Amino acid sequence: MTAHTGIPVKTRKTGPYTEQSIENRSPAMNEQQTKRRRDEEQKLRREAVRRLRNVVDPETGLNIVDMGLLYQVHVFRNGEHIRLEVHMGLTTPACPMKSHLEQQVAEALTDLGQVNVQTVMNPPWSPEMMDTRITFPW
Amino acid sequence: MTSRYTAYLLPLLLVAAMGSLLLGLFTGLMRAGWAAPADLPVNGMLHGPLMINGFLATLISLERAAALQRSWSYIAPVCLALSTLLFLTGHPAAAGPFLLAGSLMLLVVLLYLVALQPAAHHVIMVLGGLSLLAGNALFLLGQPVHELVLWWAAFPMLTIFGERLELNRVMRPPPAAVRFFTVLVTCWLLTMVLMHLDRELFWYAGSLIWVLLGLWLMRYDVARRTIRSVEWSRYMAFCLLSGYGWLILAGLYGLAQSLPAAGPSYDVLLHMLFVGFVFSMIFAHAALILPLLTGLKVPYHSYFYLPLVVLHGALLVRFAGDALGMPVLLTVGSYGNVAAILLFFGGILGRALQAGYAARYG
Repeated sequence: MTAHTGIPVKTRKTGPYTEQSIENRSPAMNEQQTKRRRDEEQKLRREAVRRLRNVVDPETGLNIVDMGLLYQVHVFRNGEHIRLEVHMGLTTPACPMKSHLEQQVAEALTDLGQVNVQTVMNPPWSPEMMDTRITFPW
Repeated sequence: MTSRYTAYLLPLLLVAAMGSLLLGLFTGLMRAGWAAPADLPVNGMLHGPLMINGFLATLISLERAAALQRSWSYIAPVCLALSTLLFLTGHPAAAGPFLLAGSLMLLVVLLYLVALQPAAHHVIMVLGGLSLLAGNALFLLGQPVHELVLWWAAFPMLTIFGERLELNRVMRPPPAAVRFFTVLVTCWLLTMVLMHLDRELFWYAGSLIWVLLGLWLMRYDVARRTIRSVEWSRYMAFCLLSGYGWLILAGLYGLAQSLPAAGPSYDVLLHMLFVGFVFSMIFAHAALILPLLTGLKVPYHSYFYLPLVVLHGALLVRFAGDALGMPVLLTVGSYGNVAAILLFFGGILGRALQAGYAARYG
């Protein structure tokens, strides 16, 4: 499975947010609960992406999703506790807007759960990552 | 990675840069004819070094260090701030090595950026770092300021050119246009080298290149799109496009006359670049860079159009003063530019504190 950027989606690590707690139950229950959990996580992920469409890079006037700066959104659940890990790129490693965008992302998602924003430089952002529907009249 | 030392260093260096700006403005007023008390340790001759090294170079290197989050990248702003402090306290011999070390370290940081992402826009920023190093080396060798001032000017200008080329990738300009831009930048750098051989001829060539660079930016910059946006995006677009206007005007004015070694035309031409072009870019980005340096957020307010209008208005008055041969307009314009910069940074500080207070106490 790959995200739209072509990066393989990371598998979840073991820790407080693993699914190990349900592994000892009956297989039918396991499957049903896992599916429900995945559906809920998927719903949360979609909601997070929808909200991140309101986070605009002031330099370009484009939201970070259409601009291709949003690399991944991971949702981790442990009971009622939800943690969102957002991986976003920047147009350059020395982007002065870094903190501004991180603040905006955290604010947009804050009531969905605990938010952790990570800026990643690999792969480097390129215009090809932008939504192809964005065109300029040259 | 950042350490707790850099967390302490960052606000100190920001204060040093802003202190240099205030002193730079103060010395600018002295140059404009304001009679300051005679026993002050600063004089009008320090205006250029304070604005270029004390303010711009310290701030730009600090911005790069904070964004890269590498402890070693803070060496550049630390050295630059120390050199300014040593110059101001009357220790020029001790300040020189720090000035060179700071310029060199900034160049290393910019080269590191190229190593991370080899691209034309990062190479242009490296050329900006080289220009600062060249300007400071000439300054320490005792060259007169009018001989080296274009190297100092090239540092913020090339930094801006690199940043705009990088950001305007979102506009997907034609590859031939990008190549043309990089050729123009390279040719401009060549004219600056050759100006040491034939000052007048290559001054004209350089002026023509400013016009072309300004037109290129007007044509391909994303600001043409964001000017129809709202709040900060729209404000930034106004700042950027007006800055490009000043770059074109400086080029045209430069073509109309050679660069004198001193006097009103020299003053106006340099301030078209430093105030009209460079400070427009600072006005455009300051509010959005502040979170990186302080963690403080600056909410948008239409107030920020006031200092922008004062900045451009006062510069036009200065330009008219030189064109019409009216020294009083030059003085009024200089005072107006200082007022605009103070109004702007006062507004930034006020809005940031207001937002911080609201976030804390509701």
